[in-house]
This record gives sequence, C-alpha cells and structure tokens, in this order.
Amino acid sequence: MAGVDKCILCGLCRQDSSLLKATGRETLTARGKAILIKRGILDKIFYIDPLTNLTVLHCPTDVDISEEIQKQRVKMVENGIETKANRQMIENIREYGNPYGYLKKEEITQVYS
Amino acid sequence: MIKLFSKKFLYFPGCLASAVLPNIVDNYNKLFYRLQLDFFSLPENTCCGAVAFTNGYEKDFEDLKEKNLSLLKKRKIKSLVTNSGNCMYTFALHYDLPVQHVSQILVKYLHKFPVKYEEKVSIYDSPTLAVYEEPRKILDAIGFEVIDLEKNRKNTLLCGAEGGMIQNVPSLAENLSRPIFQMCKTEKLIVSDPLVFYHLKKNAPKNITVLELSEVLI
Amino acid sequence: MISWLEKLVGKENVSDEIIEREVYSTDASQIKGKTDKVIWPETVKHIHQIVLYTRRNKKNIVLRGAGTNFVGSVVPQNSLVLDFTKMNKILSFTKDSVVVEPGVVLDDLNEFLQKRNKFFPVVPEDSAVCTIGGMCGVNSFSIYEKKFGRMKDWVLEVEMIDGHGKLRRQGNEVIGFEGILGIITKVKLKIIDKIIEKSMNVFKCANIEEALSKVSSLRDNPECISVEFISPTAALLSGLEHKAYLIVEYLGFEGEIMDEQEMRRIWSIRKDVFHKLASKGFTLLEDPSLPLENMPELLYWLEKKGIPSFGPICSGILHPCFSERESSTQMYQLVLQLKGTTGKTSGIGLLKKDFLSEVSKAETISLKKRFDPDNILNRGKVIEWQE
Repeated sequence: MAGVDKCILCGLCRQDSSLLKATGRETLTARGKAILIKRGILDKIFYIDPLTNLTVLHCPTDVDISEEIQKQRVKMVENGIETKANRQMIENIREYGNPYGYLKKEEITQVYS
Repeated sequence: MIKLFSKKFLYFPGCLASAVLPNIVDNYNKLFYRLQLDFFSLPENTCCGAVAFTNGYEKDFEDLKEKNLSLLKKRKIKSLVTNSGNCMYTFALHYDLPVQHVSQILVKYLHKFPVKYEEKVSIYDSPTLAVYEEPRKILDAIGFEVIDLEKNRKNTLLCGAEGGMIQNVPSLAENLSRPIFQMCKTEKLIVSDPLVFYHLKKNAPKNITVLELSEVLI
Repeated sequence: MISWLEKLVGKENVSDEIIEREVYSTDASQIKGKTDKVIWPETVKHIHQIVLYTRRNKKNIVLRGAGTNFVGSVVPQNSLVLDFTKMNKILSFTKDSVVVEPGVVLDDLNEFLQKRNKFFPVVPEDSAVCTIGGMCGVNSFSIYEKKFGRMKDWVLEVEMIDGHGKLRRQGNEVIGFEGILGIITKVKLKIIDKIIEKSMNVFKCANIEEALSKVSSLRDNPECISVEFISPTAALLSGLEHKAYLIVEYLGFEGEIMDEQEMRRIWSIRKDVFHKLASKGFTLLEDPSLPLENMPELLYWLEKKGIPSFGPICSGILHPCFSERESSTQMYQLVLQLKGTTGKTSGIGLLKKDFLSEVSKAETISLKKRFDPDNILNRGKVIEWQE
C-alpha cells in the first residue's frame, strides 16, 4: 500500500464511491482528499470518510487513503480542529472509559485496578 | 500472522452493543452458554478504543490500550471473540491479539442449530467487518435461502455507519443507508455488526425488517 | 454573487470553500489551475442562467464530468467550474434510443440497458467512471471501435446551451470539441440489442512481428469486434509470460473461449494491466495513434527502451506507459515522423494543441465563431482564441 505521494489523480476511485453518489462532490472522493493532503490542507472534511479503503480496489497505485486520512485526523486534533460530536465522545472516554459515558467513574477504576 | 486461538475466550461485545443493544449481548451470552463453550464476559462494558484511534486521538487510544492490555493480562485472556468489526480490526491490528467474530465461532456448531426457517433473506456485508462466508453458512444451516445484495462481499457499499459518520454527519449517514435498502429484495435483512445493525434498523423503510444474526438463532 | 447563485441552484450546489477550490483546480493531468467557485447544476434552467451571468460579468466556465483525461481538459483558468455529476438521469428509453443527461456514467447506462436487453457499444477504457458528457467532448474511443466506431457515430441529437446562452438542438457535428462550443444538457443516443453470442481468443505471440501479422488478418474479419494488444514488456511487468498478447473478441462463436465467466476473467486481467504497470511506477499513460503499417517501428522503439504498452491496436492506437516525461516527448517526435498523431482517446485539452491538424483547427475555429465567439466556454482548450 502506498502514500498519497503515489496518487496520480486518475479519478478511478470515483467508481462505486458511495460518498460521490450521495453528494456529487469530488471533494469527498479519495482523489479529492488526496489532493487536499498533498497541499497540506487541514479541514473537517476529513471527518467525513468511512476509513474502509473500498476504493483501493480500483486504485492503480494502491494508495492507502484510509491510513492517510487517519493521520490527517491526528494532525487536526493536535491543531484543535475537532467536531462537537468527537469532542463529546473523547470526553466520555476520558471520564468513563467509554464513548457513551455509560460507566461511572468509580466503576472504571474498579475494572482497571 | 494467524495466532493460535485459545479454547477459553473473552466475549467482548464492544461498547456500542453493551451500552445500546444489551439484548443482543444477552443473546450471544445465551448462545455460547447453550453450546457449553469455555468463555467469559467482563461485567463492565469497556472500550477497545477504536473510536478514539480512528478520530485522531492517538494518546487517548494508547492510554486505553495500555489499560486494556493490563486487564487482559490480569485475567489471563489469550483470545477474544467480538461482534464488532471495529473491535475486531483494532484488537488484531493495534493490539496484535487473536480475535474472531461471533459467527466464526458459531459456524463450528451448525449441527446444533435446528432448521426452523423456510424463507429468503438478504445479508448486508459490512466493509469494516469483512467476514462474509460464516454468517451465510449459519443462515443456510437454519433453513434460510440467502439472497446476496447486488453489491456484496468485498464489493459491498457503505451503509453510513463507518468512520464516525453517524455522529459527525448524521443526515449523510442516513442517505448512505438508502441504496442498501434499494438493493434488498427480501423482507428481512440480516447484519452481524452491532453498529451497522443499530444504523440500518434506525433507517429501515417499513417493508424491510433488519435483524441481527443472533435474533434468528436464539 | 454567492447569494444570487445560492438562490438559483440551492446553497448545497455552490461553493467557494478553499477545499473545493483546491480539489477542482486540477484533474488527471495534475496541472494546477485556478477557480474561485464550483457549481453543481441540476437543471437546464440553472445552466442557462449561469451562462447569462458569466457573459454579463465577463467570466468563463469550465465543464467537468469525471475529470479523468490526462490533457488538462477541465483545468480551470480563473474559471467557474460546473460539475455535472448531479445531472445523471436517464430521461427516456425506446427500443432504438435513449436520452440521457451529461453526468450519466457509461457503465451505469449499460447496466440500465442490459436489464432491457440493450447495449451502448461505445465503451472507453475508463467506462466505470467516464460520463456521457465527457465522452461527447472527446468523441470517445471504444474498445469496440473496430466494429462499432466512436461516440460521434452514435449520437442522434444533442441539446446544448451555447456561449451566447442560446438553447440549441444540434446533430452530431458538435461532438468532439471538448466543451468549447456549448454545454450539453441532453444527448439522444442510438442503442443496439444486447450482444448475446460472443466469444474470445487469446493469442500468445512469440514476438511483435507475429502479433502484427495476426492483427493484419483480424482487421478484415467482420466478426472481430475488438483486438486488445499487450506488449511483451507490459506482459512481463503484469505477471504474464514475456510474449506479445492479443485478446480478441468476436460476435458469434468463432473464438475458442465461449464461457462468459472465463471471458470476464480474461477482460479483468487485461483491465488490470494499467494497475500493475502503475504500481511499478509507469503512471504516465499516453495515446499515440498511427497507421498500422508504421506501428512496428514505434513498438520496437518502446520495447528497446523497456516502456510497456497496451491498447486497441487494430484501431492504430497504443497506450505506452512512462515513468518520466522526457521519454514520452521523445516518443511523440518519433510518432510525428511516422505520420501519427495523438488525442484520439483523451482529446487535445491544454497539452496536445500542437497535434491538432490544420484542417481540424480551421473547422474548430469556424464552429467556435458561431457558437462561442466570446470564448466563455473551456477557455484555452483545444485552440488559442482571440475574442
């Protein structure tokens, strides 16, 4: 599997792109995101991705776009670019050890002690 | 590398199933108990950290992973069984632990499930879970005729439950589920991942009943 | 301007966000252009109003389908970009024809037609993503060109909005001008019955000479609908034997392979060749075309340089794949010496203007004067134009 530097912008990842079919936006395809990553752009658009690499089937250079997008999300968190839902999720994990906030604080101590 | 699977396994349903689908968790506990399998569950619903990792919170993921590994070591757990595609991927790739999907365990006991159905059903293949044949074998064994969706197995479509889209872009996630239902020509659609089940059940049209695998086995 | 456009097409169908401006500033050519706005029209009225606005404000428009050709056809030059992905409806169907919007993807059209026992036989290499509008723009080539010709041969009628903002109904004389004459809003296409009886042969030729001799004999075979060539270098790099391959498809049962699944398997091996070559660094795909009698010299030159190639050789077209630009430039110098040209599969765009013949140039200029004298459509593509 390759990084976005190997993306040749051929557009073959448009094939079977559910996000493209649902929105009509090139920006949401693997190629669109590869262009943004190559140009160093951090944007919440990277949170709109399935991270399934379904499009790698059609990519002639086997770009691992999911891994590249996950790395972008790490950079975005470092730069404080988060969604409201993700913020809530991670606060729940930090406090309760669970994204849904199910466990009470004392219970999580018990589990991990 | 495939690791040897320990006879005694931890059934790890994942945080979504534990928090939101306790009846499904209950089903699998009952199934494993009836089959007299050597397993146990944790009473608490811990999280593997998949959502932290996939959304870019690496440090939080590493903290969770460290805690989970120490817990698993303390309980002498060598292998896991889960419903969740996200948990399966996380344990295999990031924890480097042997992990299987519930269907990969149940498929070994087909002779113990009675044939009780005679109808057609469809099955949706989650791209995150990527376990295709075992659920089909189970459904076939209990009398269903499985009709594949036009896009199936590794050519499956997204359903909208992937990559955090449910919480971040809920209306797009809902739109993405529609082509799945359009492909489904039967009244019942079976899924075997809890997040996908939760999402598709919530968005199903009136003429399609979405069922989790355990609901047709119990 | 945003608020007027938002009112016209809807807020969700216009964007000047940086992410859209960056993504739509380029295409498969990797040339970086500039756009300040991307619009997704959904109706003829949208397009008409956008053209009138563009004229009033002395702006220009780039028309974008899949953006998959390699010659910069949809690179914006301080342009508004119109993305036709949402204009993807099949509007009507009869036993002889189908009317479609420009954003319909070719494979989706054939999937629709197949269910009705029909077929549209212009099938380019990238049929899974290319749009009917884009195919009209480049007068698309087909893997079945030998029997069924090119896109222009199958267009019955075009509805388009020209650079004046006038809605026109034209015949196929406007096909192949890469969007510089008008914006296609509807196309009426001829269709044929689904091909049920077909077969295949795979010839493994010891060398190029043997392959070309076979091609000469196949050229005159009316039942032969497609001849795909894979050079020895391409074959070796793709994991096949180091031979010259010919994959030949026939109407009827002349070929030895008749099992549909086996034929699909062979086609998928052929379609996978570019994937295999690109993964080894041969990512620059070109499309020289030349008379078949001059093909040997080009093929020997490519083999000597270790440059893999494949393509619909019976139609005089080859797709050599390069790992760097310099060799492809040298290749085109040879192609010109061999009385060849380029652009038959991907068009002229920004990069291949030198290859436009004087006859074609004259015809293009004449049509441009008629349909878009103010040069608001796909500015800078195909020809240089003084307004």
